[in-house]
Amino acid sequence: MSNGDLGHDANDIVFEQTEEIKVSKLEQDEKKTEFVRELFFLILLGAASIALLIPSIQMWLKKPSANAPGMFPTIVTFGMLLCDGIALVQLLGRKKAKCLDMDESGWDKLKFVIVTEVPFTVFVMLAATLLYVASLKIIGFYIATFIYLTFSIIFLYKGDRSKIVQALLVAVGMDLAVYVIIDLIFQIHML
Amino acid sequence: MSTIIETFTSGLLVFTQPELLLYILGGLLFGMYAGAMPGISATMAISLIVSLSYNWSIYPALAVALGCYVGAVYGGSRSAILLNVPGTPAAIATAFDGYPLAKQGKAAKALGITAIQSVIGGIIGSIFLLVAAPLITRFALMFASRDYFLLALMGIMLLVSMSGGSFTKGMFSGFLGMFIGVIGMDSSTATQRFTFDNIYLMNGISSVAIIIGIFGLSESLVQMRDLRKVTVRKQDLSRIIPSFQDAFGYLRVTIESSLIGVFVGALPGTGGNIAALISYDRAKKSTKNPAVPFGEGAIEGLVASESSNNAAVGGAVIPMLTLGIPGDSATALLLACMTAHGVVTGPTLIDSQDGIFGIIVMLVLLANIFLLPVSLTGIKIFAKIVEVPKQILLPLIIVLATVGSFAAKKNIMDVYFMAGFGVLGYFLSIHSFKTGPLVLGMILSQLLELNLRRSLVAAYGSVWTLLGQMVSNTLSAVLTLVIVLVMLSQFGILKKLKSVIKKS
Repeated sequence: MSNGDLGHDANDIVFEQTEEIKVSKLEQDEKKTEFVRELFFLILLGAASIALLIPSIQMWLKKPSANAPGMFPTIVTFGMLLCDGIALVQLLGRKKAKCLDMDESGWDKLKFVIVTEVPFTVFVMLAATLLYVASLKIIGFYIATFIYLTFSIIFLYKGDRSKIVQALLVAVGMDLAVYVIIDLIFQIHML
Repeated sequence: MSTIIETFTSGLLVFTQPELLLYILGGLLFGMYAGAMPGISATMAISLIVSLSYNWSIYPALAVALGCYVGAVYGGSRSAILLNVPGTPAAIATAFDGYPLAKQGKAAKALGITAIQSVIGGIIGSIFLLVAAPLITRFALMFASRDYFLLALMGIMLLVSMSGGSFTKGMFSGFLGMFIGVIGMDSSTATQRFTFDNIYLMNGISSVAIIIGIFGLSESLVQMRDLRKVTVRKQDLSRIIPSFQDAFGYLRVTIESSLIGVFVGALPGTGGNIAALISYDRAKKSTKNPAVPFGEGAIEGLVASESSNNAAVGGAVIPMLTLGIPGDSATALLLACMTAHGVVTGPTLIDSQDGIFGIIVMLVLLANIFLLPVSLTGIKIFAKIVEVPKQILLPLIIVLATVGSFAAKKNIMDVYFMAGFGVLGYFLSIHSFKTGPLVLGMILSQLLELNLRRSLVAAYGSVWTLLGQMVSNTLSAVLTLVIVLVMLSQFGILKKLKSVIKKS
């Protein structure tokens, strides 16, 4: 084994250790913020359930019979609210980790919770995906896909320049594959 | 007995037209590869085949369509195992243990086992179609609306109970799915429900878009969350053909699941999805000491799901042929294909003089036999998919999800909904809300509502009368009991009761 190889291996080990530390930090952050995130999400789902239950009841009351179109949605949305309520009670019943024990301001805590909920990588990819979907009709499927794939792959590789050619090849390959299989064989013309 | 012999004899007519065997093979290959692509469901593959074969004569058209159906149901398991994106709803349970196996580097083994089990299940289903079609039809006719309602509810609850985690969160997902299913125009009264006067929403949100969004996009986003944790596992491709132990060592689970598949598949309105879930649950409960726990790559789970959903193909054809009621959306298309070719389905079909019933039975049987060589093709290529680095694979899945959601109806709105449900699925997943019950709830929503309304109307609008019927009728009582037991077991009440009884 050459020195270069040794150096490469050593770098890999250091890199893996760093990655492991980062992963465990994410898991720690998740645990630390679990209660707050869970509480907020359940309240949000509860509010959404109520928002759906009210028009369902109104629909049922318009024609209160066994065959009324509002009956089933009322039962279903009530079921959602009930399940959400039980989950909320179960959460509040938990004794440990009810709050963030950090010496930080309220804004910092909120930022910490948001970042744990949607980490930076997911946030960027989510935004890129929504932008990609929105641009399909404007610039067309093939151009949008090419841009999206190239950007996503390079971004997920943390901007590694050695991956640019690979990203471009994958993007072109995917465009070609979709064109041949979907457009030519299945006769489904993409946008 | 004479009916069975007559059916079998008329089925032999297939061999007088050897070209039909080629049509079956063609349909199988097309269906399998189409079903393996996320977003191209069995229904879509069959719809393409039916539209292509519209001007053909009856037997080639049926051969290619039935081959496509069998191939697509099997093909759905490939994307379920490799990408955790079930190609068809029937493959939801396959992903439970198939995907963990792929993550362990055993994708080829999982694909090989699913191939063998699908073939065994399919053949058992076909034999049952031949032998028990008249009997099962009679039994299915005994099901009242309330039984269909209870059966669908049981399917959702079973999925929730077997998914693990919080039961209330799982049921929330189920109810949310049912709510999504009611969006659109009410089929009985033409009342618009939650459509906001949007023309697209009048027909409801495309289930394909939701399934792809929930399983494809959200899964990719969740994996991006822990991208460093996701390791690219080298797949072991040395042994594609499963060992004798893997193929036949779980014969009890195979036969049991296949029988459940045939029976559940034969109930109109249900299909391979419920059958696979019930079989999975049954295997989970009956396997005392699995080598690997269920949900982490248990072979028994894979065996149960795959033998059951392919056996359900034979079962699903029964009500379509004998009652004229399709078992699922795929058989609805087959029914349309038969109607287009002048075949009148219903109770008289078995006794019809031209022997078409026997020919259809033989086509299903042959399609399942041919599935064995066809299903073992391309495994190495497919297994390589999971070796692709996640940095490349995840964006590719998102693009495939986009293609799949658009391709189903060629409507850009489906892509928007796919993205929306993908985001919803992401948040539900990271908060431990299982997404499987959501999808099943959505698929079964119409069946649940329709039968609940019918039952209530039959009970003169009285909930108490309906509840009384649920307890007094034997079949309904059994289904109600299962639902109650599932609920009790989930809240730990059953354990408490057991300990109280032991103490006393």
